[in-house]
Amino acid sequence: MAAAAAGRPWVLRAASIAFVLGLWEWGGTVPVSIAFPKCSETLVAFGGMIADGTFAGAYAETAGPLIVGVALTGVGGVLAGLVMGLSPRTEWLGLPVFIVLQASPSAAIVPLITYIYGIGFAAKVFAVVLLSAPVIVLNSYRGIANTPRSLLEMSDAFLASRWKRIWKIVIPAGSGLIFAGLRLGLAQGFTGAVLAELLITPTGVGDLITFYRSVADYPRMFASILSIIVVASVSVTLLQRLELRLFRPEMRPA
Amino acid sequence: MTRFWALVAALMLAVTACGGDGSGDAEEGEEGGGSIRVALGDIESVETLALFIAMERVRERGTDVELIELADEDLANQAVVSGQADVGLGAPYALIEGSDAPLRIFCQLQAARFFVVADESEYPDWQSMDGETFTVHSRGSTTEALARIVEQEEGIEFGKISYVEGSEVRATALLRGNVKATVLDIPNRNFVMAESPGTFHELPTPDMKASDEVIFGNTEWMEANQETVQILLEEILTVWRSMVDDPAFVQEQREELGLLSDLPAELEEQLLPYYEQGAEEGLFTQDCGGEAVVQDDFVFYHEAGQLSGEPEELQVEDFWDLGPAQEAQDALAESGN
Repeated sequence: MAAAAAGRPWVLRAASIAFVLGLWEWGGTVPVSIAFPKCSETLVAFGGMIADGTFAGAYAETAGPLIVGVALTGVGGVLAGLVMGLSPRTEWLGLPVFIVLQASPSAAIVPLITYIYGIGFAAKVFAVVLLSAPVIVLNSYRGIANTPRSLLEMSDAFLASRWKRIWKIVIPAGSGLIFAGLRLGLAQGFTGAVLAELLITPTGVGDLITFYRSVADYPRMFASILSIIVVASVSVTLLQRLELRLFRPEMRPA
Repeated sequence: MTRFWALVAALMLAVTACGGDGSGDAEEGEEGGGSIRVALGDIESVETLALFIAMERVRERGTDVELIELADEDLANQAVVSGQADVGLGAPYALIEGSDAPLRIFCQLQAARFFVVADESEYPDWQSMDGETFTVHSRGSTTEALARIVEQEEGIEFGKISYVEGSEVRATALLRGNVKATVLDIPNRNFVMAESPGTFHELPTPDMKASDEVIFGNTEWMEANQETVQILLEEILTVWRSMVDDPAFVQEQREELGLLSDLPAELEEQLLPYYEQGAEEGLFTQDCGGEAVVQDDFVFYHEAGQLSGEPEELQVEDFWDLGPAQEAQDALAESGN
């Protein structure tokens, strides 16, 4: 039976999801807390919020800073990682900054953004950049810095110019890690956008969480949180598939 | 496989242990008696000083007081619901209505007094705000309720209600020109007016008795600790009345009791003006409110979206326990205070 399940991974995945949702339903029935709704109540609220356009309106607001922030970090972060991977001086200068940034408590830093960028769109974009930049930059840097020595020696043997070596050898060799960084950066960007909406100005999906919590509508509050998990998971999975298709043919299912 | 089921059982036990309904804690409180755990969803500040004074006086009467500081009001509400705290501060109307939480309000601490500060050149009166953006705290907040009531009373309609959490953030945004008209509390109204004299002015707000902050308790704990509730209310009423009679009372008590000793000098300067203006504006309730206040709260919080029931259909006893406040007032009257 175990062998049959292993042959069909979707069975195990479905069982895993059913188990978690079942545990949630049980937790809501106990109840764990009066603020902890049953899974079924949350799913009903989730459906209602899709049907009445609540999610569409909220995500339209959240998407703006998220897209701009991830796009800025996507371009700037990859370039920064590339330069750091190629130049030891820039690596010395930039690497500690991003390592420290990655380890820093972002929830404590996000409110400080308002001192410089105020309370508008720019502040939310900066929050997205703050969260997504370290992972994109560091992954790109590692991808570039770990280019196989044999490939570099080969390019030397063929007397390739510096630019040709970067374009033909270094970037393709690091592309897998760079794309993985972009995927993880998107997930971090989601966190940044929601944190900004919770801690700076309540808009979009962050406003849904704040509002439904304030009016004690816990099924809708949990449905809002669930929607973030669903949207982030779907986006990251789609990017992962794209990554496998473009850069890692060896990982594709036969 | 055995290990797997052991893990599942351990997880279930952990969830049950973490999510207990708190009845055990409530029982502990019952046995101890003479102690009170207060959940404060706010930071220690000039505004909370009066409560700290009342709590010190409760301690002097032999009751243990534990202050539990939490990040926000909702967490304080949850702490009281779960029995991890006995009383909390806030306005838990939505929680009581929406989830039948075992909570009852027993005293209004602060009336809702808002100060609408606007750019004088752009918005000389409410009529000029018709179709314009007005900034409030958050959706479903008391400041949004104020905006809705102003719309009804002034016959205008705001173009957009914008949300910016935190009076100090809105004050900074006002000074930086990011917002042109918003709702502020007393310290931030004073700050804005002092920072940019002549640029901003106040727009008149409707006269309301509704609550900005009430004290509420876990019903089980209140039932079992009536004497402690009585002591707490007597001290709150005494402090509240004393500071309205003489706002300098707060400063004197602070020095005497050694409270907020690390208050920065610039905040210390705000202390006396805050309590003077609060007393003048009727911020500090002298009699814990009463039924008239509850009815105003029903209208106000319905307007804010916190109460879904029609105000005239809501029952006072479903939200408030008016008995303890009356008993405390009677006791103070008997003792000549």
